[in-house]
Amino acid sequence: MKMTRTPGRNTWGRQSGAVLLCGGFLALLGAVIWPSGERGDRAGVTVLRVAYPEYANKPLQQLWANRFAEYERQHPDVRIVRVFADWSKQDIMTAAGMLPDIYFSNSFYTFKERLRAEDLTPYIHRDNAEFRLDDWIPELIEDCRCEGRTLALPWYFNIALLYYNADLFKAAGVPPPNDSWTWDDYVTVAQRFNRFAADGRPVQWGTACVFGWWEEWLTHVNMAGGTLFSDDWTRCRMDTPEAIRGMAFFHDLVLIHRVSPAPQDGVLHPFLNGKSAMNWGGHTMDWPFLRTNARFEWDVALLPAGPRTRVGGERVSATFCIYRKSRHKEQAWDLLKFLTSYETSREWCRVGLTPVRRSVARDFFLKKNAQGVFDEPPQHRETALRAIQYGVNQPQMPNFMEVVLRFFQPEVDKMLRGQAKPEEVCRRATAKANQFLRMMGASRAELAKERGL
Amino acid sequence: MNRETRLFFLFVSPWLIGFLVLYLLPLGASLYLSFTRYSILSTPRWVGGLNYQACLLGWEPNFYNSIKVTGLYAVLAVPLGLITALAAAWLLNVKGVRGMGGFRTIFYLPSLLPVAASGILWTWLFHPQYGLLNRGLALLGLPSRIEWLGDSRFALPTLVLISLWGFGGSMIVFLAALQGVDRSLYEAAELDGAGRWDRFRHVTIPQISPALFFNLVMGLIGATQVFSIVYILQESAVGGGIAISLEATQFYVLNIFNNGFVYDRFGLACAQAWILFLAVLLLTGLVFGLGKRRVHYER
Repeated sequence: MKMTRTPGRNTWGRQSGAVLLCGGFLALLGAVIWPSGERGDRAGVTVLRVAYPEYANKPLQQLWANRFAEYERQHPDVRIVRVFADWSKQDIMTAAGMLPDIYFSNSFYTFKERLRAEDLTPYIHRDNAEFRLDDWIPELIEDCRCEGRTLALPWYFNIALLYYNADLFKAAGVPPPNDSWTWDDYVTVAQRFNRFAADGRPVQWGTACVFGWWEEWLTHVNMAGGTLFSDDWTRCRMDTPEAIRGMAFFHDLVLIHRVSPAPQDGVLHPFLNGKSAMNWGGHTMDWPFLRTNARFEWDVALLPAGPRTRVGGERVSATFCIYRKSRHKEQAWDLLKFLTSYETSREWCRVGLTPVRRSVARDFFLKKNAQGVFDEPPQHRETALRAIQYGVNQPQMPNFMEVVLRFFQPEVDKMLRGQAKPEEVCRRATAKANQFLRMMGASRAELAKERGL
Repeated sequence: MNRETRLFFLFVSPWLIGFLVLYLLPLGASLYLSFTRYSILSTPRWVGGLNYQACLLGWEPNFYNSIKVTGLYAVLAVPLGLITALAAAWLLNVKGVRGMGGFRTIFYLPSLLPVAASGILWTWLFHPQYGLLNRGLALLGLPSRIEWLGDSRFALPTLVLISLWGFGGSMIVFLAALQGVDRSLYEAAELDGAGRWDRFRHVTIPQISPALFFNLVMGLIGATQVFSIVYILQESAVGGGIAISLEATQFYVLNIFNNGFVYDRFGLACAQAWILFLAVLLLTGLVFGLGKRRVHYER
């Protein structure tokens, strides 16, 4: 029997198939681009999206979960959705207008945040009775301000310090570093800890420098009286005698005094492994890590003063901002207050972070044997608080990373291999950076006019 | 527009919308952005050809260096990769060996490993002090303090060495091609007195030339787009306190990424992406032009 086609039914089937296919596709597209906040809001619950840093620190992760749960318990009409978004993803989300209501940043990027963060100044003034601005460490709040606006709130800070192995100092009968130390004292004492094997191979160093980024060499430059940029941000100023002196000190530590392993020596975590008596810089964020892994007593001191000043070590606070296009700014502000409150700050301290509130420092951070937490090193924890005044929040301008990483770091790496002199490095990289800034840079005044999306 | 045409567009609409929204629109946007100063957070500001000038006149200091690094890598890694993959496929095509399936799987397995995991693995294998490679050299009494990643003379050859690890994909293509070679051609060549090398050169190579050409084109495109492994090596080396030569490992696409996401210069990054696109187009056209005379397709 000959089969016959039924055009009508067939067309209907194809049409429905096409409609279903398109419908499904559009629904999928909608589900992806429709912010989850709005979906939650329809159910009568405010959904707050929060991007927070995913540190590999279990107690801290647990604490995040606990604090969010506590807030939700206190506010049944709020649901917190945690969003994983690293730096790049946050930028892309901003361009798409989909940044979470609260997102993490740090004071290094305050200048960048002026384009997307809500100004918190009016909220702080309005709720000051509860917020207590005078309770915050002023430098840390100042680092979050740009163009007269408070764009973020800190929740812990990092500050450059001199770390030392107290056991090694005690065994050698050498007094530990103190506030009067200068660069010369630092080098002299570091040299006393250098140890060599029979074949001349170094087996212990006086200190350990920071390689691969600007943390240490820029600190030396600052302490020698140099600056990276001119005040109007149009020129790099690393070719001045002061800046060169700072760079030369870094060079000499590694290649002349040889008190630190060079990058090419490939020594893994010399301080942590007990192979260096001191360690320059370092993040206070590493304290929990050091407490767990160091097999010796360690402590901290102020960085030794440079020929011009003691000011110059890096100071960076981890911060939170509210997205200026958030649909729930008031609720986000309420949650932000909770995350930076006395109670929560104390909890951050408990897992090993530094305090941003004076009251938490006084009642908890500086107290020995506070609920068993601070039996652990460092003994001179107050040094971290004292060092704040000597720290600097790096130049708040977009060309900073570009100039230090693109122009200087490869040259500094060559210098540490003995392939270039400090003066050559500073002059060559400055010339290149200035050519680039002349063509591609923007002045402070120009950047101030820049507007966010 | 008749019913059939309407239905056609209805059916292809998911693809069509996807193409327009996810490809054509970003393509056009990136072309526009390449003529602007754009930091992803601020509104783009028209700067004309400044970004292209910055690249071509060398104001962007990594532009020519990244071309040099990428070009050198392509010149070294592509032929070596092809030879390795072909050699492995040749070995795995031997008849009558027991457990050949297992061997094929083992050779292909590295290609399945995530780049992040293998990147970290390589960082530690090449560690100057604790790395397995230097330890092995020390046991043999050879110079063993080589900085595989930190010394600018070794960094690029080391990356070429790492690239050979992932030859599985090309190997499979070669293996399929080798299995498709007509045995009678070998027999005929043998009767004519052709030795092993002659059979390989005059029978195998022409017969597998489409596969060779395919792997060559893919290899070249892949070499111009190296990113993940270098990014991970750089990050894990710096994070682990291991020296790595940033200059010798500054690949073109990594430079684009840094311009966009580290230095907030999306306009410059877009201009570099367009330059890369045109260069790859030109290169592929050139290879296709040469391939016409060398590649033998069955009619």
